[in-house]
Amino acid sequence: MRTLAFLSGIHSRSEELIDSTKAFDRAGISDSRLEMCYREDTRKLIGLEVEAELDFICDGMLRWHDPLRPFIRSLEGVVPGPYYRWFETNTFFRKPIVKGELSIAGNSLEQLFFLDLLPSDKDSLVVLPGPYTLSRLSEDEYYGDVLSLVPAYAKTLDYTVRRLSSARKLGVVLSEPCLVYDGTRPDKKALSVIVEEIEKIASNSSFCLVHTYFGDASKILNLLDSFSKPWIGVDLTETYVEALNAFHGKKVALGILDSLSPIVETPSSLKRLFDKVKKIDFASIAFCPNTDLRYLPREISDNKIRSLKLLKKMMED
Amino acid sequence: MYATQEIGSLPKPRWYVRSRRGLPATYEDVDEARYWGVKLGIEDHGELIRLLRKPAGSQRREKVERWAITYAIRFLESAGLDRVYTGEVSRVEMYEHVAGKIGGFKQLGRVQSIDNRYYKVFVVEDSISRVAPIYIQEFKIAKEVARKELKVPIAGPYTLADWTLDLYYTSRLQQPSMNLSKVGLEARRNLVEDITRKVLRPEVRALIESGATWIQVDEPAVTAHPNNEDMKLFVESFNMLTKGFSAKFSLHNCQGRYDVLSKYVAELKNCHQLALEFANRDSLSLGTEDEDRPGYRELKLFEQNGFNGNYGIGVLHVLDYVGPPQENAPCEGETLIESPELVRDRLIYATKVIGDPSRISANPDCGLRTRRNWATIMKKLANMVKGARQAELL
Repeated sequence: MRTLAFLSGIHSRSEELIDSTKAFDRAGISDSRLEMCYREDTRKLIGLEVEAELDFICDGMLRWHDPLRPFIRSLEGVVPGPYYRWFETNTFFRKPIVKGELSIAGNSLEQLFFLDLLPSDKDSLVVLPGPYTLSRLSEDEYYGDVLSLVPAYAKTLDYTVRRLSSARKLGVVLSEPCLVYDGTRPDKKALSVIVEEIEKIASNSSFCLVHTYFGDASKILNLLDSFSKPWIGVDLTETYVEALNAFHGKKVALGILDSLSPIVETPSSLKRLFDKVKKIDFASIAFCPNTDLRYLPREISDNKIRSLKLLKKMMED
Repeated sequence: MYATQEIGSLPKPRWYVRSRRGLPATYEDVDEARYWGVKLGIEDHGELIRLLRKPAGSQRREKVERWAITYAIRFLESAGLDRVYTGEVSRVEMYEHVAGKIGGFKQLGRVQSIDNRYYKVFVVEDSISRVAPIYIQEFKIAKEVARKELKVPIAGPYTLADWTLDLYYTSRLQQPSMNLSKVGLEARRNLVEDITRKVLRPEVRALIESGATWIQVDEPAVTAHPNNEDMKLFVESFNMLTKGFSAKFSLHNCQGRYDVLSKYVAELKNCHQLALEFANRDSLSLGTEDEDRPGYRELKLFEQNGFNGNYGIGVLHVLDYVGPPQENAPCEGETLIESPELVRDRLIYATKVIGDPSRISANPDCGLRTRRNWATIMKKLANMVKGARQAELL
């Protein structure tokens, strides 16, 4: 069985980049200089991903201040609103306020990622907020309910994926923490709409992962089991491996790197986990961080990327 | 009368930042020190100018720090506030200032919190201890300088624990058969208790012995984990921290889940005031009806849940504002300057909810160090004071 490994969210900024962003805020450096710093740091990260032999390369989204805002800014009909805490972390996002019909704003999609820096001889992916999480975290002044808002966001995501993939083959990770987080899990009525909309996006993509985190995936097994085309991502710091028995025959991405722990995972520290995973008959398996690695200092995050290579090798052996 | 107060930090003056870094002052630094020295009527500020022209060194640094505290206090007093402090100018950042003085903590690196703002994250690797006084020196200077009532902000134990990565407490508890989430909660409980007992209570005792009468416990992490166990842990830590001391204690929280926090505040045994963030969530239109003040919607939950203490109502937005310009809150760069009328209406609405205006003070949502320009901040604070005076007339 082939095992894949990749990053699944926003990576930590380097100390140098942090200094540059702070200097920019103090008007100490220009827009263009800051852009060069982002590009330089992205290049370094991509180099590390290549060195770690990751199967998909992503740009690390170092420019993204939060997991929603850049995408929201690429849309019309929605604006970034007040700051709210991002789940149970010490980071914040601007709540999207939906004020009208959603559509893509001009040529803004090209600003989302540094696609030109991704190596042309490797598979690549982009990470976008999923339609349910976008809907659940928005303040909706236009559509009236989540059942209408999910298809509206999904349509813009589908367009985005197709547009970004037009120049090169790209996989997509749809971040969907709200599918599993206590208090935001969808009700039965929403389930079929979510599955239908995500399947549409997945059908236009060479690789699509619905990545769930900050909650126990075993609590929405019915929903996850309904997906046919996309991979399913689970947060192993929240979900017992035994619960994944329900996913036999499925394509599963294991969020195995703990983005909130400074301890860098090693094959020996994960031995017990591997023994359990081996017994489940997945159609395909992938390893990734459970969520964004940006909650850790860069040096630790980089070491976690290196550990992915070792983990993958251990599984294949 | 609505008392007005600051809530914590101010941006550090440039001349002070360069001094902390051991760099010589530039002409611009000297001009800035002179400009604000004159504007704030600071006695003998010529001495600072002479000091800034001297070569950098540790002795100079200490003296410049005293001047920075003096400038910040005079700045807040000049804006017309009734309760002031040092703008936390001598602290690097609220978490790092404490974490750097705790034995058993090791600094790792910086991580992002909000946009281009970061904090240094620490990991606890060993049994903890208070290795140096944390706030005393700053308070002693403030006490000598201030002409208004002092309210001393300190970092709360729950937040300090929540922002710290843990290798020590978890490893002591971890056994193969234990549920991971239970280990996590128990480890956090042990860390919170140790921070409270070994680090913060000795500090609070020393502050009170030095003359502090009001201590504001900053707990931005409260409601980050909105489950009952974590909220109970927060309540226990606040009560443990304040128990037996004869000073006023208040709680400051921002970007919190007030539907959650409101259910627990009645259990805080020694909480004189709740200082909360509302302006960030509010509309910029005038008006004092429910539909005009969506950001203050959850204020009534605290009353409904039996909190009978006082409130510090956040009436000034402290983060970057991106949106269309508004008549009642024009922008300078990305900083909103709320009009006195907008502040007035927010206070009147809060009074309608709470009933008794004497239980209400006006303050910014949070510390103002997120704004870079003292002149802009002065406009915001002065309008807050004017708005409070206008609200009293109605």
